[in-house]
Amino acid sequence: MLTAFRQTNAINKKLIVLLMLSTAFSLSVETARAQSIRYDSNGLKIELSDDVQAAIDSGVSLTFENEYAVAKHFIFFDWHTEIARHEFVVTRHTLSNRYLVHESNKVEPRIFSSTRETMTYISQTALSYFYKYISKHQGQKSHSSPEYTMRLRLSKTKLPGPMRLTAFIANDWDLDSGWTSWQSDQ
Amino acid sequence: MAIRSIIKKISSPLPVISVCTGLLFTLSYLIVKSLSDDASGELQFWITIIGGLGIATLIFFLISNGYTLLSQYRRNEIGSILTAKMVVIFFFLTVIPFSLIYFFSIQFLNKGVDSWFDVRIEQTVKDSLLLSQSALEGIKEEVIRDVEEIAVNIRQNQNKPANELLSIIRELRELNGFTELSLYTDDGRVLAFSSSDQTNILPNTPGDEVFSELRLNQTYTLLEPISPTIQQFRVVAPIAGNQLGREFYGVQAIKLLPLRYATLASSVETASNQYAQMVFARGPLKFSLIVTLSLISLASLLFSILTAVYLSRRLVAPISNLASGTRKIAEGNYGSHLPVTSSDELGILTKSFNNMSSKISEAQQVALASQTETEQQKGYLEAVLTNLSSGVFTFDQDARLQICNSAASEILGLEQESLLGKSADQLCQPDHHAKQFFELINTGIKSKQNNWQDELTLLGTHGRQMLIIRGTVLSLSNDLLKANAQAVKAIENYVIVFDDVTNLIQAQRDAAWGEVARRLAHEIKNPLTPIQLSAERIKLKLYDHVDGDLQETLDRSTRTIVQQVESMKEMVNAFSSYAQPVRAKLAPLDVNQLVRDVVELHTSHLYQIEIKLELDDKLPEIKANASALRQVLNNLLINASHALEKTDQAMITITTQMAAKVTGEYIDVLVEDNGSGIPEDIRESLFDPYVSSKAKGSGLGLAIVKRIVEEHSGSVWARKGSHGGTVMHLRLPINAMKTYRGNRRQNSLHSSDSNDIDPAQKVS
Repeated sequence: MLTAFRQTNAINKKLIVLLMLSTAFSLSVETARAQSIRYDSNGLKIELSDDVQAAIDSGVSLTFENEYAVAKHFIFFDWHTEIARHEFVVTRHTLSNRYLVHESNKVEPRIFSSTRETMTYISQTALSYFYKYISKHQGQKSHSSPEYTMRLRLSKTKLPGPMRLTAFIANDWDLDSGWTSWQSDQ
Repeated sequence: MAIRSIIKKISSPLPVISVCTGLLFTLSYLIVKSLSDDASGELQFWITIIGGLGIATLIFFLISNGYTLLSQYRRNEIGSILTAKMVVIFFFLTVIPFSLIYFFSIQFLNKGVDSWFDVRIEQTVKDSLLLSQSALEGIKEEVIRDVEEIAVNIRQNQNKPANELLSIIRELRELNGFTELSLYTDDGRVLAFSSSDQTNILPNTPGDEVFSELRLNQTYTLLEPISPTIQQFRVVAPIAGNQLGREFYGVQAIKLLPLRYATLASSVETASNQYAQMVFARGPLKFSLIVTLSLISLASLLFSILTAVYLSRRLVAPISNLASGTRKIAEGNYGSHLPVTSSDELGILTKSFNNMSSKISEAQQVALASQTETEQQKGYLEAVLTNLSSGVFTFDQDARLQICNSAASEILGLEQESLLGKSADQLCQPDHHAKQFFELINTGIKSKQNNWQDELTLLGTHGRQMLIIRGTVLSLSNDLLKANAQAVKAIENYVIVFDDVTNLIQAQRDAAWGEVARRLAHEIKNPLTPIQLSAERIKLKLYDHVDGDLQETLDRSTRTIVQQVESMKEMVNAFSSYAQPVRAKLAPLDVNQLVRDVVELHTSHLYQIEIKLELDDKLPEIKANASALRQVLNNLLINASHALEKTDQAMITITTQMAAKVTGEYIDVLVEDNGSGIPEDIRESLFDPYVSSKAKGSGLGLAIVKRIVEEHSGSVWARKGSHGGTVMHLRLPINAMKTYRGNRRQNSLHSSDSNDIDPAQKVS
């Protein structure tokens, strides 16, 4: 059973690049991590901003990238190894007014009547995959107690072309949980 | 310095042009990617970063170049002002049209994007979607009606055995064309189901929310997209179980939408989604395009400005080089060559400048060589003039004195500075002792004679001087005269050469007198003894043979002859002494002791004269011939005593001292009397032989003194004493090895410190 978790200080590489080049780029880059995907006692919670909600209602498909990794620390930096990925592609079916979730490992989409249900499904599924990831690695390395981390974020690079630049700049599109660690109770 | 060097290198045109070119291509690619929906978002992100970096680099280059240009401008470097002006001109020429293009591009972009979204198209899309939904709604209602009839049918057959009920369900499914028909309890347990897919052993169970609706006795329907071209209706109808007393709760039917409907619906769905997506992305699209266009515009503008900077520098560089080269030539740095970097007009100008610089350098070298040669010749001439014993004057065409050598100044006793630059007329104006000399020169110059010569006796600071003066007109060669006749006046220079022949004449005179004395001694002295002996013999033979008056006459005559012969012997001896050269055997001599000895010798017969000695105890010994100097002092003392014969309280003062201003080299011996002084008529020839104011004097005393003193490389002169008498001034060298010229200098020194010399001199 995994209980305690914490968010690490691992910094998004892109944000590092943006930080370094912010002056040259002459763009106002928000360096603080967005908290629209966050953890609480009930698990992972995804809150869509109005812009994102409007985008999905307008037929824009959203790709949520879910990554699992084993964290290693070195001085001030965190290394993530043995990364596993999973994608959730959320679209809206206009004729039926339903939200579809396509997953990379499933043929048929999951259908939801609201975005809240959709996000709940994604968060629960992401956590369930994370449990599987941990179980798998614990079985392989029983002698060590590694730190497992997970990240769930909205991929801006997989947005439609015209929207990417806006998404890079606007805070509303920063849906990112950051790397979060779980420590096993065993 | 290293960082500055690196910055300078990377700020050179090639890196900047490379960056600009890459940047423009990158941003252009960014525009293409901004309009596409392909999976290149990651690439687009990095392109954006690279674009920002490129622009930052260009800004850095611009700032670096601007700072360099500003520094050069502040340092007032050649070419910086012109470069700055050209950059400003290029800047405005670039910015103004660029701003216009940018403004209209933004306007065009806004209008262009907005034109994509037509109200009629939007309405059409909405209508199509509504139509599709209506069509599907009809199908859905039909399916619902069928499912509800099936529900009634199942409720009517609820008491039949399970295998019959399953058979009924299969028949109903096949009858209505359902994909799947299943029967559920209220807790979601499957009671029976039938599927068109025989391999499907489990039903497609609905979610919990479906059963929630069933409990409300409502029929649940849902159009489910399975794939882009396959859609199905899921309909779950309630069965009133509480009336039947059975556990039946709901029946679910799944029916695939017919392919034709499904395809059309999918097409409408896709079109509707795309249009909605475009409408939604209109704002971000404008933003993306404007940002990208701005970045490209900024990059192009920076590129243009940087190009302007480099172009200005490239254009100005040859001009700057020319200006720098001109300044070097103005500063006297001839021969500087500029790099010829182009073959255009500027290159031709640079080549011409290099050619001109070379020629100037060659001319300057020739002039320098000529100047050096002239300086050498001038130095040589000055050395020659300085070492000449003759005085030399040169006058220019305006008869102004240009050159006056040291011998001329020395002969005349005038300072060079007081003469140089003055005209011949001005030199004649001051009332000085050389006025007659300059008047003669002025007359010679004005006579326009090419060569002239004259003699002049001048009473100068050195006493009476005899000068021989020669004048010559300097003229250019005939060729030059023919070439430029106007230059004739400018080349009339005059050279005056004069010699002080006083000493030469004096030496000649002395030699002549010496020869006379020698001949007198030789020709007269020989017959004197026979004359004397003959006279005494005549007296001896005839004295006893005559008497009376004749005897007395004989005695008187023979006595007179003997006396005159004796007198003549004395005179001849004196002449012999004068003619005989002094063989100076130099030996250390105490002059003070010599003076005391001579005075002691004369004390007995000069008892009526007070002889006063003022001797310098610190007087050094000199190298001299003691007997010769003894004769000198004897002669001077005798002359002084003779001058005091008619003087009351006669006094002779003999002084010895170190010579003033030539201390360490000469001593002075002064013999002063308080007699009547030197008569005016013999003043000039005081030291010449046979010059005397006394009736019985031979006139050789002072001549012998002068001769002995000069043999000792010394000098003697006479001046008026403080008591009205005469001072005979001897100046003797401590080391008596001086030349004639040394004596002249000594005299000159004496003259310079004795301006109050009275020309009155004393007869020997």
